[in-house]
Amino acid sequence: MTGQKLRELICSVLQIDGSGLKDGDIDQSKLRVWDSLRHLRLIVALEKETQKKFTAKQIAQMVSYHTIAQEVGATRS
Amino acid sequence: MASSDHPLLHLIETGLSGPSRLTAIFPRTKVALTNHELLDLIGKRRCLLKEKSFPTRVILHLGKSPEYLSWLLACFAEGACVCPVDPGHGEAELKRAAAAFKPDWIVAHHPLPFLDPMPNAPVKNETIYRNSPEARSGLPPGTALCMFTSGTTGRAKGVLLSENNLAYGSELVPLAHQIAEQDRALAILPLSMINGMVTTILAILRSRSSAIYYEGMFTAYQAFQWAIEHQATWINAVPVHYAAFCNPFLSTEERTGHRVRFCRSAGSRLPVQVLQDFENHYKIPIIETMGLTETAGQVFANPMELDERKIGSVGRPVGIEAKIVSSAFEELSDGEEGEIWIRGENVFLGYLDDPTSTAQALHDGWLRTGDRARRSVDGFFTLTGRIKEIVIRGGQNVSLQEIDDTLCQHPAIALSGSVGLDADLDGETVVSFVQLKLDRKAGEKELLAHCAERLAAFKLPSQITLLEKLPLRSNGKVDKQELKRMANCFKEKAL
Repeated sequence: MTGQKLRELICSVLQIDGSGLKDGDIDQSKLRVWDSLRHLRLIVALEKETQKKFTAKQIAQMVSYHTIAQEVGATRS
Repeated sequence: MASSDHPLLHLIETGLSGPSRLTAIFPRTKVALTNHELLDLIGKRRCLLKEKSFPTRVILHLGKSPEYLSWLLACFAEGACVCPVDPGHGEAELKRAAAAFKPDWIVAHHPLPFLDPMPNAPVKNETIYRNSPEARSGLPPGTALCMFTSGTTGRAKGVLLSENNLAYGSELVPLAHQIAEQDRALAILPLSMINGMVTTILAILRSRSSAIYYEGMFTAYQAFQWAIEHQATWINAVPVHYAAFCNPFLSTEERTGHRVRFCRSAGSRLPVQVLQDFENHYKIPIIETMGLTETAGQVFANPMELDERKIGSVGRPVGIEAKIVSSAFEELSDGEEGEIWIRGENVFLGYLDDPTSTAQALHDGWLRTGDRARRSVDGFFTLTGRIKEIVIRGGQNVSLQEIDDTLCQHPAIALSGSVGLDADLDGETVVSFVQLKLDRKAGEKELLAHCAERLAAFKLPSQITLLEKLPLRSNGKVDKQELKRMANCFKEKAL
């Protein structure tokens, strides 16, 4: 999965316009709409997209673009 | 003053009295308060309330924190009416609550640029804002809480609860779940919701037990870590959280050492599959319950004796009277489907400045809940649907009318019809259909952004679909049944 596709998926699930956001801004602590319910939806969408199953510990850590990219192995381009 | 005159003050004083013991734990910020420390924090805020012109209405725009806990209880102790507004729901919700509630003060963690802060207020982590409300009508005597909810009748309204309502509500949770001093709750829900406030603050005081207040975004892993670390004996959550505990399951290693003896579920119907998966994996029972804001929380609960539970039912009435009533207001027999009506000391005073809705909700001392159910011969109630247009997401009521009203504020929208679908982990999803005005254009993104500016995140529709014409019924109203059918078709195609 590319970084761009990951961004699009996160923004789509969180229902945010990501055009003005840097990667570092896509962070649970900075986005009010990223609540626990949307987080669950995001994990479900990521699992569907990547065909991976995340552990409970991974899910707890996937709270920003960077940590998610690390877990799903997103590429830069 | 006698305790019967001021039952919440009595509850606070007795609930926090006695030898020093741990009462409130905030694990993320690593704060642990004993009963004496909490009393001290409450006392400081009570002094402030008395010194500073004594506000009678206070909005608390505070997250889960020692400040929230102490302001809430200080206001209760001093007889001020509190209106909690979750800061996570944004400024628009706060402004709407302030316009309706007309508070004297707003206490907030975050800066509120549209108000002036009180100078030299001796508080560290929060700011007090003075508000000068326009003329307002009085509250019923003894009103202690105004909580905004979509209620039982469809539009967001301020539910007014008295000291007596709340004090009585606080008795029902320990009674139903046999909670004693040695118990400790893991309180996952926001404390600005009635479930969080009554079940994990007031019932904790009533049982002289303690609570761990889950701060920040919920994950099942973090919840169990804190439950183990701080020795929780029960968990208060809604179905979406139990679904998260099952997807994925925590490993044996990740849950070793816990002392949780039961979990309590409320807020919306717990899918039987989730209950069974959770119980099979974790070997911890989930007790299904039901409560309303209008009843100061819990009114039905399944028994703690597991072989007496009825899976899929919200349980039997606890501490209240309940009956099933037909649309002709006649009491129905066991097995017949109708609306649940409730009577008891916890039934609310009425809606803020809304005598019409109050009259619709209260009939001859009974609360019309808007929930449809059947009662079995052994007294268990099983929900079958709702009468009014409300969906429940993550345990919170969302008014479809409110979403439609918001969409119709957009200059390009002629008509809007929103429906709820049983869908995902957090309960029902909202799908909105809109019809544009002639010669006007608007896209889904623009309409979602319009809603996001005006509604809290949990109220946003998951999808907005533009239709050339909305289907109408013969009376000219939008045909929601047809929209629901269309939404289900779209959903099936998407799958």
